[in-house]
Order: sequence, then C-alpha cells, then structure tokens
Amino acid sequence: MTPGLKWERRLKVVAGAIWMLIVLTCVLFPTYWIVLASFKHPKDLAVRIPIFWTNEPTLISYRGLFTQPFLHFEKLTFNSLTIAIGATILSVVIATFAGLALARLRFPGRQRLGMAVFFAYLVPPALLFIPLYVMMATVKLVDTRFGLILVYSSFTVPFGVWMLRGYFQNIPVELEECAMIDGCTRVGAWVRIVLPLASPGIAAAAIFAFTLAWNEFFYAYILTETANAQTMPIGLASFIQLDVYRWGELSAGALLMAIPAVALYFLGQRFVVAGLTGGAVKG
Amino acid sequence: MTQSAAGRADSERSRGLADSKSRLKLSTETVLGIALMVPALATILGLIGYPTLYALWISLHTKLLGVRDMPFVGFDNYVSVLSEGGFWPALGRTFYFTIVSVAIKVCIGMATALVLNENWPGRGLARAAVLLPWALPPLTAVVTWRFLFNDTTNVLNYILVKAHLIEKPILWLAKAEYAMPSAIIVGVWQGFPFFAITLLAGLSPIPDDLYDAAKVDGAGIIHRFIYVSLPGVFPVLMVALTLSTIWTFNQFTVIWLLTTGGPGDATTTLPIAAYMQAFVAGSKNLSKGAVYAVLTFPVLVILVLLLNYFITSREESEA
Repeated sequence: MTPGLKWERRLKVVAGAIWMLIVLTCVLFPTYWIVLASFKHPKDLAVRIPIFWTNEPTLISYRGLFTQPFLHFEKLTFNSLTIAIGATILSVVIATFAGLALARLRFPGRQRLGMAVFFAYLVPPALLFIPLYVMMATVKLVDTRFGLILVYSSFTVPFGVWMLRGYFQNIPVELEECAMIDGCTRVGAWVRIVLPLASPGIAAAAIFAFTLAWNEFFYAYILTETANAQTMPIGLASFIQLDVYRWGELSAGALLMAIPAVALYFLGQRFVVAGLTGGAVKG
Repeated sequence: MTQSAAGRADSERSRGLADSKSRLKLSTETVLGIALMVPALATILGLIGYPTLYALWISLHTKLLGVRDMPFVGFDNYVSVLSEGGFWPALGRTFYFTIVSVAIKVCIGMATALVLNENWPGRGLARAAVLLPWALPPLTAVVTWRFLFNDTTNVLNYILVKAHLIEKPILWLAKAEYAMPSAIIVGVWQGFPFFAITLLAGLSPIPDDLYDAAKVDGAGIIHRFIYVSLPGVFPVLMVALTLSTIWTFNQFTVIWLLTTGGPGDATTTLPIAAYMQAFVAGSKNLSKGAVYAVLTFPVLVILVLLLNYFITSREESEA
C-alpha cells in the first residue's frame, strides 16, 4: 500500500466514524427521550432545564393512560388489535391465492396483472380518502371496525400479493413437479410442498400487513368518530390537540403503541429488503 | 434394436400424452389462475380502481359532507379551486416539501449506506438502529418530535443553545418560517432509513475486485464512488427515489399531526388542503377536496410511469 492510499484509508475511517456517530445520535436520542419521558415523574417533564436522566423511574404515566376516563385506552387497544388482525387475515388469504396464481400459473394477462397490483399499492390515500369516505357512508360502515378492515385491505392486499408473488417465484418449480409426478394434484402439491416452504414469506407478509394496519392514521382519522372504532393513534392524537399537553401519558401511549410495531418490523424486515432489491418488484 | 424401437415408441407416446395433457392443463390453468385472482382483483378494483374514478365523478358534482343530494356542476369546482388562490401556493409547498425532503433523505441515506457497507465491528447493530425511525408508527415519531420542538418542554432549543448552534430559542412549530423546515426534519428522520437500507442492499453485491481494480488504476475515493459504487447502485437508487417521491408528495400524517397545516397555511400541502376542504373548512365540500386530490393525479401518473421505466430497464440490464 502506498503512503497516499494509507492516508486516504485513515481519512475514510475517521470520516465514516464521525458520520455514523452523528446519524446514530440523531436516531437514538429522540427515541431515548421518549422512553425516558414515559418513566419520568410528570413534574419533571415541562421544565426550563430539561432533565436528561432519572434515578426514580415511575409508572405514573402508564397508570394515567389507563385511568383517563375520556381516553378509553383499553378500548382503543382492543379496536387496534381487532382491526389489524382482521385486515391481516383477510389480506394474507387473498394475497396467497393471488400470489400463487401470478407466480405459478400461465394465463393471459398475467404479467400485466402483476404490474397492476404493484401500481395499485402506489395509489395514495390522499387521492382515495374522499371517495372511500362517501362509499363507506353510503353502506353505513363509517365508525365501524369492519369498515376499517375493508379499507385497510386496499393497501395490505396489493402489498401482500406483490411480496408473496416474489416469494413463491423463488421456490423451485421442480419441487411441485416431483410431487405431481408422484400423484399429487397441482393444488395438492401447493398445499403439501409450496405453502410449507413459503411459510416464512407468508409470516412476513402477515407481519407487514399487521404493522401497516396497526400504524395507519389517515383513514382511521376520517372513518371513525367514537370509541366504537377509534384506534390507538386516533385516541393519542386527540391527546395532542388538548390545550394542556399531557406529555407523560402521551409518551407512554406512543411508546406502548410502537413496541409491537417495531418488534414485528425487525422480525420481518429482511424479507422486504430482499424482495425490493432481489427482483420481486419485477413485472 | 427392438428394444430401442420400443423405447422410441414409448417416448413418442408419452410425449403425445404430455402434449395433450399440457393443452388440457392450459385451460385448467387459466380457469384456476383467474379464480385465484378474483378476490384480489375484487379488492383492488373495488377499493382502488372504482374510488379513483369516483373521485373524478365527485369532483364534477357538488357533494357536501352529510348532504345526500349531489347535483352535477361540470367543471365549476375546478374553476373555483383554481381561481380561489389556495391551490397554487399549496402546490408550491408540496413541491418544496417533496424536493427538499427527498434530496436530504437520499444524501443522508447514501452516506449511511456507504459506511454500513464497510466491514466494521458493530455494524449489524448500527444497521438495526438506523432502521428504527422507519419502523416506528408515524404517530410515535411525531409525538417524539413535538416533544423535542416544544418550547415548554424545551429540549431541542436547550441543547442547541448550549452547543452555541443557535443564539436564542426557536419557535419551531409556531413560526411560519420554521414550520416547514420542522416538518421536513421529521419527514427526513422517518424516511431516510428506507434509502439507507435499500441502497445498502444495492451496494453490497458490488464485488470488491471492482474497487481494487479502480485502486490499481489510481482512482481516489471520490472517483471510486462515481465510477464503481454509483453505477452499481443506480437501478436500486432510481426505484427508491421514485417510491420515496410518491410517498413524500402524498404525505399527510406527519404534517397533520405536527402542524395541522399551520401556522396559518405555512405547511398546507395538497393532501392537507384536500382534507381541509372536505372535512374542516366552512362548507365541508367533499367535491372541492376531490378536485385537489384529482389535480395531484397527473403528478402520480408521471412518477408511476418513471418507476415503470426504471423497473423494466433494470430487468433488461439483468437479463
């Protein structure tokens, strides 16, 4: 190695380390702050000189969250869970059917359908929210959990189809051909060979459908009115709009809501990155 | 002799069988394929295709929130939206928000991906940490940042004043000139990991030999980035750029939860304006809201066509 290259290598290491330090601070400090805030005593939250550490963590804020009479936090959690699970089951079943068809069967228009499904995922809520509201109002599904499950499948289904199609394509066709030579029907080969092999992909699709529905704010904000169907982000957002901020309860609620989303995301994320870069986007 | 002849006849027969079978299979395949597609197609047509057209339909009528009647008015709503003066500034803000956010996201994402692509202890953990903002629910991210920005909790201002980066506290969300930069900061914070992670996935398959060869040819670090890393990662970069542009252009949640479009209309982008027209402003005019939404459609179409082009050209380069 020439001295020039050695010098350059050192510079690269130092610059890289400094950059990573900045990025990690920007990512981790806000996260640390909200975790800390949820365990602080409420009197330590809105102070002139911020307190960067607490020696006496307390659950006051968490308790407060569940005892606020107007917030109905249990009900919000129940609604969020029901809606996210409902949308997940619906979309995984639909997406498995369509994913198998697109990956394994030759029929006219297959390529275009695959591409259309992907582009359907890109049509933004900002365009769809008004017609969807009018449609839901017409069939009296505003402020119902079922209505939100339906509306959420407008993004969980295309996303699931796109993801599972990519996953099924990567399972060798020879495996099910062998099963068919041994006397399985095509559907039998799918059930016995392809679906078990694809179970990690199906699990990942379920995880993503769940987190997409769990995190969703815009549609829920428009399509719910009461605790009958309101989800966690809607209830917590109403907290923000109060004149006096309840930072403790707000932090605790936002954090409780984030825990399942983050945990599931880290379980499933490698599949999505692989899908996005490995060709699952292909038409 | 006889054996081989028998064998040939056998294989002939089985090929004929396979042929007729595959012809039969073709039709069952079509039927089965379409049957399996029906639920997905029904969902997509019913909840995306039909509403898209219905938005157009609503925009040509006058539909008020809570009013059943829906008289046809032609392009009146378009004329009034375009002449009322709210639309063009909102369009400008949307472009500003989108272009600045995406530009910053891609720069931070690329730099981070380049560092994460090097071999160093702890980079797996660092990668996971970088993903964190992307994995958080938008509500959690916004609550966190409202906490940091707020002047009674006084976190960000305290740190920045102590570090002598600013002289006196900034009213991040209450002052019109800071509200848009604040919204961009939060959007970038949540969105840059998408670039970091997809670009990292695009960088890692580039073989070390290419870098070594460039080094032998005397290429410095910047030249190696321009002539080795960038061409290698380019297809992934283009797809990520278009996706992120679509998402950022239509961002509602982060802006709404952070500023509700304010102060005044300083952060009222098109999605916010559409929502305000339909559900907040005096008349609660769903049709005018639909006009805002429909007018963003050409931008979406252009972006989707671009994406289509990048994906197909990548496929060709791979084939």
